[in-house]
Order: sequence, then C-alpha cells, then structure tokens
Amino acid sequence: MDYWIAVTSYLLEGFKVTLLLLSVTAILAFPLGLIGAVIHVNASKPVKILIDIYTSVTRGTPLLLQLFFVMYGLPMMGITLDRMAVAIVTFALNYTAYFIEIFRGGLLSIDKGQAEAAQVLGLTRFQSLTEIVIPQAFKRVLPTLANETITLLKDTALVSSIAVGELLRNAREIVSRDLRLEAFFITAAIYLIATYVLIFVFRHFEKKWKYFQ
Amino acid sequence: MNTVLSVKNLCKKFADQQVLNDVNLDLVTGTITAIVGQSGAGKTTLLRLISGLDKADAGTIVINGYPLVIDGKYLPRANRKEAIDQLGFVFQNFNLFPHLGVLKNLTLAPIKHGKDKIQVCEKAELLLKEFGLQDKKKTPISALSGGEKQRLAIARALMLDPAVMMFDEPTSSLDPSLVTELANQIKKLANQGMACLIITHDYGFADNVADLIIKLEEGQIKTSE
Repeated sequence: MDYWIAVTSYLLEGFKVTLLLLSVTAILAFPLGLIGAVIHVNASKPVKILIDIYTSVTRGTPLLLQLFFVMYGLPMMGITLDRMAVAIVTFALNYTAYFIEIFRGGLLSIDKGQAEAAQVLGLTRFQSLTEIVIPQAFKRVLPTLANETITLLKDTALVSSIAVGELLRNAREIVSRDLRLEAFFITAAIYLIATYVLIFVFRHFEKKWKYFQ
Repeated sequence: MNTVLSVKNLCKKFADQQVLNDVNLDLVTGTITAIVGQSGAGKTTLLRLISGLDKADAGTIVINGYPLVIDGKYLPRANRKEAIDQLGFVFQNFNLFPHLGVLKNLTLAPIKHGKDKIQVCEKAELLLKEFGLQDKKKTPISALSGGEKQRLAIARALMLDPAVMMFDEPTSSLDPSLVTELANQIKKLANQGMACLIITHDYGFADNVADLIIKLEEGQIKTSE
C-alpha cells in the first residue's frame, strides 16, 4: 500500500505539469484561435492565404517534430528557451491552428441573416460579432472543441520527449527503476479521470446552451 | 404629411443583370405602401439597398432627412448610422437572435446604443404586452410560433422608434388566420404616424393593407395605384 501511495504521489507531481501545460495551452490557443478565425473570415485574400499557410504547415507536420524544432532548432538561431517554455510555445502555436479551423467552421455556419439583423439594428461590427455571431458559433463548435481539448490532454505526454517531467515521464521513470507496472495503471487512471472531468465540463456547457438551436 | 423616405434614380446591377433601373419612391408619414411583383423583380434588392445591407450603383436615398447615399456616393459608415437608425426592418424569416431570450432580443440594441437600461426594459415590457407576448418572456425563441416570432420581430424593430417600418414578404410564413392580425398591426403602426413599406407577392394582402400599391417589373416601377 505504501508503494502505491508513494508512486501516486510522485505521479501527481508530474500531473501538475500536465495540467499546467493543458491549461496554459488552452488559455492561449482558445482566444488566439478565435481571433485567427474572425480575421480569416473577414480579411482580404492575402491575409487569408497567410493564415491558410500557417494552419496547413502546423496541422500537416507532427507535433513532435515541431517540439524538436523549437527545442533544438531555435538555439541554432540564437533563441534559447527553457524546456517548459518550449512546450508551451509549441503547443500553443500548434493548437491555435486547430482552433482557428474549428472556430472558422463555426463562424461560417451562422446564417448571414443574423449579422444583417444586427446591422439594421445599428449594432457595430464588433458588437455584432461579440453579441450575436460568436456566441452562436461557440455553441455549435463545442463538441469539436471538447474532442480537441481531450486530444490536447493526451498530447501533453509528448513533452516527455524533451525531458519535461510530466505525468507519463514520471511513470516511465518509476517503471524503469522498479520494474513494476503499477505506475502505468495509475497513470492510465489519472488520464481517464481527467478526460471524464473535461467531458463533464463541456457537457455542462452543452446542456446549458441546449435551449437554442 | 412629411416625406420620410425619398429614393431617387436608384440603380443596382448584379454581374450583367440590371436588377433595379432608375427607381424613384417617396414615402410619407402615416401611410402604407406595398411593392408587389414577381420573384426576381428586384423587390428584396430595393429593401436591402434602403436598409444599407447592399450598396447601390447610383441614386440617392434619404431617410427622415438623413442621407444614406447621394448620387451613388455613400456617406462614411459612422454618418450612415443616423439614416439606418430611422428604419425598422422585419425580415422574411425574422432573423431573431436564438441564443437570447425574448426580452433580450428587444433590449440588446437600444442598450448597446447607450439608452437608459431601466427605460429600455420598461418599453420592452410595454411592447411585449401590446403584442401579446408578456407570458413568453422566458420562452426560447425556437419554441415560439411563426406568428409570435413575427410579432417579436416587429416589437424588436419598434424598440428603436423608427420613422419607417419595412416588411419583407411578411405573409410568407404565416397561417392565413394570422394574416388579418398582421394587417391590423401594420395599419395601427401607420395610424401612429409611421411610414410602412411592404414587399410582397401577395396581391390580396397588399390590396387589403396598403394605401398605395407599386408594381415592380424587371427592376422598374411600372404602375402605381
């Protein structure tokens, strides 16, 4: 029993890093993704093309490769970041690209009559976006956002490859040291519980906004 | 009686098609004008140009003394607002905001315009009562009937005290039993001094409600009666 408690306690230390990376990435990538999508929907063609290049390159190459590039490539250009900063920058840039595409789909799915009604009621473009279009788009993309956030939670395990001591790295350390598998089972349980908490939170908002179609 | 909407020499082309060609129209206070015509005659385009949703190629639009476009040249966006604020627009499919409640649909725009919140809410309550929607304050928009949605859309437009009320195909999604009720509501607005402009392909409704019927054919006004 003491062994289980000691292992769990060490794994939870790693989970704190996992949670930090998940929340900072979400806090940065959600608004950046939304802003990117709004710009894409309203911008001129050259700006649209620039955003398209960014989302295509980011989504079209492995996140692990991007992590290695920022970790080992940037120092060759004279930019050195600590490991956690590398993880945060890479994840935020990567997930912003996914969130841009998700929000863009949501914004385009809103009937243009909604923005026209706002316009004839004298609302400014900004008010029309923030009060009318974005709230409706947000509700529509909520299930996709939930999926992507769960993927993000599991993707955080990739930072173990640049020696950031998150949950999976701590588990691997214990298993290699003790040659016992309990740490993997506890790690799986922690990921599962965290996933269900995320599902619960997103379902709560889906339920809350169920009153409108 | 004052002219509250003046449209002169209005032209609009989409690609190669001349949708409106030299349209002239004057609306005076307290009157109901219906524009009739077949699909594609340019009726809805005319309404969209007057409300600033689309831009005219040529012509002048002045609403209650505030110019929107002069000889095809649009005023800066901020100055156009004064003209647009004189208009109430009831869309064919109402375009109510489904994520907001009934009351918020009415109060959002005036509050965003900086009007006093308490006065806005009092006015909204009065309008809900007048339009028989006082029990629907907490009803989701999706649960309202077609007639209720239309009454709410009219009330929403009235919240901004427009000088001109415009209706795009107002009978298209109503049961026949509700058409008379709608006609009475529009007549009441005219009696209160508003100029009402109705776009419809329903000649019977136009005949019943309008003081003046204008026929639009291939982008041109053919007859007035």
